[in-house]
Amino acid sequence: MSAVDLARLQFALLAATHFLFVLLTLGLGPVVAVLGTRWAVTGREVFERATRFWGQLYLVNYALGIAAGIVLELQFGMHFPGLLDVAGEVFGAPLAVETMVAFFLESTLLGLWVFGWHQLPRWLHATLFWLVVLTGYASAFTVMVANGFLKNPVGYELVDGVAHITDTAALILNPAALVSSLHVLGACLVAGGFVLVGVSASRLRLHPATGGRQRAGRQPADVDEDLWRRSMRAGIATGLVGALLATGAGYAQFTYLDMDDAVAVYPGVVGTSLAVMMGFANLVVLGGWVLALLLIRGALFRLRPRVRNGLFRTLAVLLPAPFVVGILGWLVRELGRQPWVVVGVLRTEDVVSDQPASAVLTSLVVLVGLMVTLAVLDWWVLRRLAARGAEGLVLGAPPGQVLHDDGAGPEDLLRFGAAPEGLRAAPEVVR
Amino acid sequence: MTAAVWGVLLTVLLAGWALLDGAVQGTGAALGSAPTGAERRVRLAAVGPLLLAGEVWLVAAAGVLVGAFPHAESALAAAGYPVLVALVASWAARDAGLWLRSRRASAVWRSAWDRVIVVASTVLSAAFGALLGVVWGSVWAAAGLAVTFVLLVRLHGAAVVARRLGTTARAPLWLTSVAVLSPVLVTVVAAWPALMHGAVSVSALAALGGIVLAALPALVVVQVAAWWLVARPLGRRDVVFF
Repeated sequence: MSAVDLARLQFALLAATHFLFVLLTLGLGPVVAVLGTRWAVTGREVFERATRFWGQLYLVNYALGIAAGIVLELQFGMHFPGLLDVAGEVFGAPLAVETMVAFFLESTLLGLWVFGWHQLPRWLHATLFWLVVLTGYASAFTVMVANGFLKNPVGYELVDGVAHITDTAALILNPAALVSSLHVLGACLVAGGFVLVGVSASRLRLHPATGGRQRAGRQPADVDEDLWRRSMRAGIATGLVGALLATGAGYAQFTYLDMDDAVAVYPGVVGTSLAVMMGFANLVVLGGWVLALLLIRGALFRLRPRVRNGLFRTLAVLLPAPFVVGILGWLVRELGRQPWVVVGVLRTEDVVSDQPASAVLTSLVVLVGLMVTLAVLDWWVLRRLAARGAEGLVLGAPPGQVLHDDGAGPEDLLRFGAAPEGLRAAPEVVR
Repeated sequence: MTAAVWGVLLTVLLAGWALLDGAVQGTGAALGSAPTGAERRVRLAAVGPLLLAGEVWLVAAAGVLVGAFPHAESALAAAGYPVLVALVASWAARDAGLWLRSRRASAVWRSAWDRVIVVASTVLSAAFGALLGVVWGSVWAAAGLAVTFVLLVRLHGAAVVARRLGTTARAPLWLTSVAVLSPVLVTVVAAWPALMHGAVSVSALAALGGIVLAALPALVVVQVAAWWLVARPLGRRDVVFF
């Protein structure tokens, strides 16, 4: 393989890995925000546990998503310097806004949410997470403005071979940015919905009331069952809204995309990916409506035990599907743009750095190997955390309790306000 | 905003990263010296709120490079290619170690991640120092700054942890803070002409500057709130997550 091919392969693999994290971050965010707000308003235990459980999954996923994003950001300078030299002023501007404003705020706010848990007023704490979601979405949008420019370059002029912004509004309102952002957002909500539904279905199957041989009642038996029923409902709503948004905005993209061009260079991969994506999206819309109808009077939880357990098992097995389809979507978009990096302006082969193929191969092995390892480990940890349920959550736990569970000595426990002989005697941690 | 103002912003971002994330790197690199698992968690809790609030500074600095000095960035990437690979790889590994180490109770799991944290934190500091050395344009500068930065962040991390635990550190916090900032400041001053040469057009810098200035109050407020979380002694209202 040439250095060009290796640089492209490296970018594609890193972008795909990064996007797996993005799907869950953007899809789960609004649900955690709603749960946190309901906890702040009602003070009910079920919402506290739900916020901590889904918040912890959100957090562990987000943290490794950052790492993958950082690796990705440096790819432009390392392997595609020609893109920055020619279009840096246009393409780099939204990325600079992303890193300096949107992501900067998102990450710092999330840190405040985690580490200010026992210190901030409950309403402010809930508001912080809404701001995390808002800045996260803004961050995704700025990235799509940069990506949209590559797909459909508008609002610029070339002077002596260097692109300059002439119309900022056109750059932002570019359908390749705006409509595609809504499509991506829809896909993220679908992924969030699948995770909420899949995990809740697994938990409910294990629950003595819903998972047993008898039919469950209309009212949940305890807080735990209430939590998973509510999560299931939230997941179905999120997934259905996401599917409608993803399909609506997805088909709307055909107004500016020339699909014949897109399929021209890689007919097999792009054509197949596109067909799978569209088929999957239509099925999710259909399945989403069926599940939503089953929520009427809690029918979903009162199905015959055998039907219910079979359905819940299927929903749990389907959990990874939107992640696979999300990657296929990017294959369609990015491969469909080739041989251009900026359509009609710059060819990919003309922007690649003059690093030797061996150097690019080494960085591919190091970075892709590392990121795929981290992604697999992260996925495994998320599965374990999900399988543990809402017991022993570390996020939002009093520090003394966490260290006590860890077998800390008396000195450490006293520092965190927990009496060494046991938690029962510990002074009440405020809120 | 002119190229010079952008250059100052870049300097502030790099210096801020050295100061905030340096404390996390130093604590991570010295994690092996903590005798018990609980002691390690207490140390990580002491610098915990600095992780998310600190690493955004280097991400933002990279954004300034891409947005305002794209030609300088591609030149730096070409000259420092292997160092950049080491930097991002160790950064990712360090973060994975911090977030994942306490997610399972198994002693094997935790000690394996602790080793990752120690090695990756050290490599991260070394790679950043070496990248500053690449700007100076000599292998000796790269090696020297790599070693210097590793040693300085160790002292700095220890000073921050000592401040939060109410113990005495080898060097006071103000001194270690100045020490981790100085290699960044000196390097930027030396590289200033090349940096200005690698800037984009004045109109683009102005438009970008408007957006950043508009967001500046919000950026300052959230950062100050994050520092407020670490300004007090470690206690019962803190969070032990790492």
